[in-house]
Amino acid sequence: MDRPPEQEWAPPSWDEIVRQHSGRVFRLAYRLTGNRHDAEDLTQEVFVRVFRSLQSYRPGTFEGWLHRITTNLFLDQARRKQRIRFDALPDDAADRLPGLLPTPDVGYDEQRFDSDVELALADLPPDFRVAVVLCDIEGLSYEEIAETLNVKIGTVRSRIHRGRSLLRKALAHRAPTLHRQRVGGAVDASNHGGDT
Amino acid sequence: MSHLHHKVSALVDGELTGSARARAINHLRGCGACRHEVEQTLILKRRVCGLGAVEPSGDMFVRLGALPHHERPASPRRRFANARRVGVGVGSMSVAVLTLAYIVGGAEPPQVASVAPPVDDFAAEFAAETGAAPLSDPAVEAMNATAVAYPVSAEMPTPAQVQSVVSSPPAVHLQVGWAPETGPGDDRAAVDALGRAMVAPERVAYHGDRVVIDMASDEASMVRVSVQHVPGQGTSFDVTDSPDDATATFVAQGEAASARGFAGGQLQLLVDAYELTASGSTVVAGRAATVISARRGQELVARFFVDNATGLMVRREVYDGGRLVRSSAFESLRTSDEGFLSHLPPELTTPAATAVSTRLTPILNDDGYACPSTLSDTFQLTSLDRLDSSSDVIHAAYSDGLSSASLFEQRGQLRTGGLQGFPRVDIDGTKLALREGLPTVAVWESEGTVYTLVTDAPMSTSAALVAALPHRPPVAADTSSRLVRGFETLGSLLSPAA
Repeated sequence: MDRPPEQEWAPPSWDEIVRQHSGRVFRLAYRLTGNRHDAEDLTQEVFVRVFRSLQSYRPGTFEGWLHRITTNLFLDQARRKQRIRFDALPDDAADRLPGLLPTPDVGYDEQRFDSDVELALADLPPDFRVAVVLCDIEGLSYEEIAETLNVKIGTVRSRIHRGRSLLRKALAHRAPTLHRQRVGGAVDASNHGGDT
Repeated sequence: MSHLHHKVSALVDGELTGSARARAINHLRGCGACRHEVEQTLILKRRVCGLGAVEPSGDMFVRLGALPHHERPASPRRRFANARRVGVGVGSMSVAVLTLAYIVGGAEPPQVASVAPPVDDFAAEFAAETGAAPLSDPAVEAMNATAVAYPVSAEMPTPAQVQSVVSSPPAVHLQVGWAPETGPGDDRAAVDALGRAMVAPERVAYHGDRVVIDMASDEASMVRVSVQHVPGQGTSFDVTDSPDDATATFVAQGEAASARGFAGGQLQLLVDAYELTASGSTVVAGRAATVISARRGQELVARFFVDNATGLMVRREVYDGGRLVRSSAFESLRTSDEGFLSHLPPELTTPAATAVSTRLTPILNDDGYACPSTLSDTFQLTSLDRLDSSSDVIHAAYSDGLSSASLFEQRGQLRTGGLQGFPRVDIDGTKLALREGLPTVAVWESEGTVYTLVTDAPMSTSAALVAALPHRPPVAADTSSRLVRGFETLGSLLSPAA
């Protein structure tokens, strides 16, 4: 019996890609950046990358590919912002201001957050936040997260655990007063110390 | 063992396996501090998982859509829209999508696939399905636990295996005041008692030992299951004693079942199919219970024993031809106000399936899938879906409120190689491979479709179900399924996660 030859894979249309994936990328971006404005920028940045390298994409891993691009772009941006802030301060500033925020535009969108969890999440150091978001919101396994971030699985485990500990601490602090004092959320802004 | 520390998160995420998981769970039994950690982490995880979705602005779509006008792809060679591909927004399976799949599938050269039904996967799917049924048979859950399970010495199951036997506590969306219509032979008190039994697990935490005896074949078998249930958390089953010394632990979680959309329908089916009468009271596990009999005509088919104090179903008996073939009863039962499930399952997902509207059965029928709305008079089609694990399995679920049956259909020619332990039998001229037990599995082919029926019904009922389905010799040249091809083409559009 003659079967037709394996059909050559044709990339989907751009419209189709946008329709199918932009909502999902935006939601991930929103949980990572913590505000709508940055999330839309990040989403746009992701789609520029997608558009430029669609040619080299092979079918089967589109979602994994989008996860990788989104999280890597986000972490790059977060690190850059962090560096700029630290550069602008004296050398020992990091010691004196351990809580320097890694979260961009914390003040900007504050009123729009509708829950403590969102706030606490947006306050997590970026590396921890990415791990928790990929695990709980995107539902990835530790192995998939390790692949996405190109880190060891032990690192994923440690980041998720530490991220959750910080979240719980932050939520416990927030519980009594609604209008807390914001000093900057990150307990460990350098976020290198604890990874295994 | 010292405290769990960072293993708490891994445990909650279902990322601990094998002996590490066993050690952690063992530690939890004796350590209140770590149990507290686990509970708090679970609560946090649920809160994070439950964060509402945020939608992008319309502007963003426009900007993204316009990207090709501003950007250049890395390589100049780029193909644009393939005319046959159709974009569809997110959403669940709909008539439109199915029709689309049908159209997109088009007519292509026929091909005959050779099909070896994955009977164990189907049995697991059936367990998940029946777990969602409020009055489902605990015997099936228990037996499934031992059948799918692993010996004590072997490795603990992988999360995937555990997930495959995860069933669910009653998914009751019963409105307060909801009551099924009673038929002429029904006794209001009996129906009310069963209604209480349906909602009781939503309100009552309990633990106890349940003994399941199966006497369907000449060899009776017995399984003892330790059950712990906490409303909102789920139910854990520990098989502690079974004929082949298999032990198993599995956990059912509430959220999993709610997607299946049972809304009291099972009890309504029971009411529709049988006459229900309250027939006195007795004592089960030291507690006063009301006895309800289900009859068809004059024949007794089942008896339910409902605990007077809590409404829990404490004993259940199934009869076939007037003979008791299965019983499942609590030997001991204690209710409590609080509890903690020491066995944490991998959370969140059940084996994914895409629901198909039952109104689409005519299209499926045209394509060679038989999904009658009624089987053997009393079994109603309760849900229809396409399993996402493989692209071409249609799963039709049936129930009469007492027993459940799952029919899995694959287009192709039956390859019997994978059916070891399935005696070939001939029921009234119908040839099939049949494995009796809990559940009973029957496999056969008719006109280029391979049918696998998985059911917990007693044997005579199972035989009637099989007989009610098509049995025709295979056709030479297969008419390959247009619908399935369409599904393949539409691909990820149908993914429930989309």
